Amino acid sequence: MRVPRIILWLRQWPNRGLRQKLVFWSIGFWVVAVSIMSLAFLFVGRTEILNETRHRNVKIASVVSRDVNVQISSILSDARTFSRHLEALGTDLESQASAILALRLSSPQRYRAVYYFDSKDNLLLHLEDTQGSLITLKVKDIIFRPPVTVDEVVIATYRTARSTGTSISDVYFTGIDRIPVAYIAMPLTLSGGITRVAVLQIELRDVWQRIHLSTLGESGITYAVSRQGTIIAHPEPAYVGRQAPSEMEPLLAGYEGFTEYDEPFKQRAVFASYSPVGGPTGWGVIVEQEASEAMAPLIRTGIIIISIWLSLAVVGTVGIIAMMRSFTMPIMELTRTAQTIAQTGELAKTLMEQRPDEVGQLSHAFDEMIERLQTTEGRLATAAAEERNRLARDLHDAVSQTLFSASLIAEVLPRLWERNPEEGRRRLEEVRQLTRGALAEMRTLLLELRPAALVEAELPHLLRQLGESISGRTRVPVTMSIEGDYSFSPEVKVALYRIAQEALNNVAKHANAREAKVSLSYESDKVTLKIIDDGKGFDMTSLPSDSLGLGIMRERASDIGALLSMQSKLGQGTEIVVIWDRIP
Amino acid sequence: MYAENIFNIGGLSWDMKRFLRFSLPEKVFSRLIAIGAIFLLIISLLGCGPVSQQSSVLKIGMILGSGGLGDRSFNDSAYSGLLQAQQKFNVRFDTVDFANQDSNLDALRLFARNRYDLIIGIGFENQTNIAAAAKEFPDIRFALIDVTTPGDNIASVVYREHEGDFLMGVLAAMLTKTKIVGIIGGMDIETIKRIEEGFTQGVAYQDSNVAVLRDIAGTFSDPQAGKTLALAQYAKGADIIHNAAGRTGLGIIEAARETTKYTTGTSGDQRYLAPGNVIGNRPKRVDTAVIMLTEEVKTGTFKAGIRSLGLKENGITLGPFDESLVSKTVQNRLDDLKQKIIGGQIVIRVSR
Repeated sequence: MRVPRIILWLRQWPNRGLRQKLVFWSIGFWVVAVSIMSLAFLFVGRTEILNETRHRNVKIASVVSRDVNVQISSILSDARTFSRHLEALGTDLESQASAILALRLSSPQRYRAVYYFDSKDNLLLHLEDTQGSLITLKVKDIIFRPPVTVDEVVIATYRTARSTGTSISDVYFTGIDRIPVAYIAMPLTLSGGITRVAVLQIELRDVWQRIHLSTLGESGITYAVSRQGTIIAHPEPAYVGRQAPSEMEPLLAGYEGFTEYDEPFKQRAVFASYSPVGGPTGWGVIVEQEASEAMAPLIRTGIIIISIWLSLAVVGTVGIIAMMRSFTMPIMELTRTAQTIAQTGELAKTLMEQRPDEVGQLSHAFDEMIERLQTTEGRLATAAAEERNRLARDLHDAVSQTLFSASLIAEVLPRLWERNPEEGRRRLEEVRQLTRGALAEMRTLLLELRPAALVEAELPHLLRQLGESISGRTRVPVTMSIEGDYSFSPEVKVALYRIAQEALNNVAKHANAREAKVSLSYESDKVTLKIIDDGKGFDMTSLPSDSLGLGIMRERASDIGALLSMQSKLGQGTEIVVIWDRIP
Repeated sequence: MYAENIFNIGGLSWDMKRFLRFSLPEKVFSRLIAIGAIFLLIISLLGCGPVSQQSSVLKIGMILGSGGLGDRSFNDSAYSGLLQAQQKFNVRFDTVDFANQDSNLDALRLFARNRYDLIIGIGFENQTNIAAAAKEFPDIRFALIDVTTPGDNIASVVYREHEGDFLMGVLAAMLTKTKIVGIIGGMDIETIKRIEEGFTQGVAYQDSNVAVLRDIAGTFSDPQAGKTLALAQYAKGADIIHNAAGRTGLGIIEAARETTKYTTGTSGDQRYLAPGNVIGNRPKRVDTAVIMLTEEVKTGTFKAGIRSLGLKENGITLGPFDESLVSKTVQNRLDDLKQKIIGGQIVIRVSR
């Protein structure tokens, strides 16, 4: 199986460069942040828009149902007034027929038929004529009509009214033209306790029209259901008579609200809001809107949010890469420069554009550091040259001079030996001394070049070499007197050597002595180093205590915890004594 | 087979976890987990809205008093209460005009048969209907405004009219120039008696030298009767008549306009009927009662029994007054006295 590249890339993660890590994490966090924001907006927006739509539709349903309620109320109120009128007319059938006719004529569109019963199922009057024949109808025609069979609904409504009071029937549809009607039956009490019942057939086309007109958007419709949940008004006639979905049960129980379901006939998801009409009818009004239409603003918002999200993610990513590039490039440049210096040893500046931020400060500091290093390197080179010069001078001054003298003597020696062997032998001794001195001088100089040798060598050996070197150079005999043997720590050894060296140098330079003596003696844990000469000496009172390298000598002595004393008088030579106690 | 699958899935997920742990720094790994968890939490919190929701819609039936809608008084105040209740609690309401006894009872029965949540009768004229219907439908809630009647399912709301009328008495005594004021009541019923007593005490509280003329019209719906009585009182020297006669009071206002004397409005703002002659009114706030009862039904705290509304409960309010007749200082005095009545510092004695 091939391992995906991203996995391979991730596996290499710990070895990835700073820039890649920074870019990866920045983009990661940015994309996650933008995604969270977008999704939050999307979900909040979804909930908000849906709730808004639902509550708006509920309000619409509420308004429509109140409107229906008011209309039914006013129909009922008119019917009541009419029944009060009939009551007032008493038992006079003729005037009642006249009133009924007047009512029908006043609004033939609303009062489609009127039936007037006594309390014993007898139909006293009925008026269900068409609008055209009403105009020519006379009261007598109504009174002396032959009996007719009336609709069962009329009878049922009549009986309910007779036993329990005013009653309103369910909604029915007339035979051919399918006009919605309802029957209102009202009990009347005439003077003398005589009871009658008037049944009005009320046309509901006005009310229905109002319901049908209440549309919203392209798919939003309003329809009404009866107390039993049967659809009684619907813009599409085919729906009338069907049972409303079971989700409408709360509506039938008198609740207002919203729900979602799949419309069973069109097979579409719909949002339905419902509101009860209230009043004596028990109807309910439903506002139904296809979910797709209600969701349309949501989808539009979603597209906008997603495009904002994508563009933010892209812009942000590009921005992050550019930013990281500008931050990490100087660091990488710096790294490369440092690597080059490390590999080749050639000091080179980054010479990057000066930036005001920390990266700029870093590269500036780097360049300054390189500059300082270059200066130091130059100084070191100068110091080395000086050291070489000094060495050459020393060699010239001491060894070269000595060897020159030795070579001169050696040149004249054969002839001198022939003339005066005694003199020759003396000269030979002189050559021997000169070459030994030169050799010692060479060794001393070599010691200076290789300080490690100083540590390795024994003190008596060093002191002898020193003495020979001095006597070789100055022709002043240096007598050594070394008693016993002792091993020192390197610090003590070097310090004692340096003190002796300084003291003998002074002898060579200033004392003009005939002879010098160096003695090293051990006495239990006490070591005494003496350097004595018979030179001209000096006045100790007139001499600063740290001149003639005296200060350096004292310092060296005190570093190792030794005591240094000096005695000198004009013309009587000088004596320097160093006493070092092993147990301080 | 099944177990093997589980093992495989387990092994794979474990591998992934280990891989992630080793390939990413520890801190980063836990941070990733935390971010993911918060993310999921937010989404799951935001994603759930209710799919369906419902709230009950109350059905309120009301039988109006004999004045009917448009009386600019008691019934209109009741109707305004229904409209406010509709806005506040989402109700469906029906009103029925007061007619004859059979018809009224029939209307109440229609409400009750359709299981209305609250059936309200306005005014003493509906007392018998409500009592009868309440007996017939013991599980339906009834309410009666302005008169009390016993019943386990009847809430009676009465007003301490005398509190408002006391202040109207104070006002009349402050404004009268002839030192004679009058009061004309609609019918000789408890409510009107309370009004009369309150008014008389208010007049006496302000100025004991002011005389009070009293008349009862015997009807709440005959403006002519009101006019006759009012003209008689004005002829006797009264210059302000307190109007407590409902629709009959329209005649009193007419008389005031003709004689350019003063009167007060009944429950509604009637200043427009005779500008300059109607001082103002102290409406009995039937709307307050209707809203209160609706709220009780809505919250399920409806209880049968008597509720008394006065100045404190906003059952009786003062004004609006004719600003040209009632100055700010007079109104301030009335407001002070109102606070004293609410606080109990002024006690108005009524016989019933």
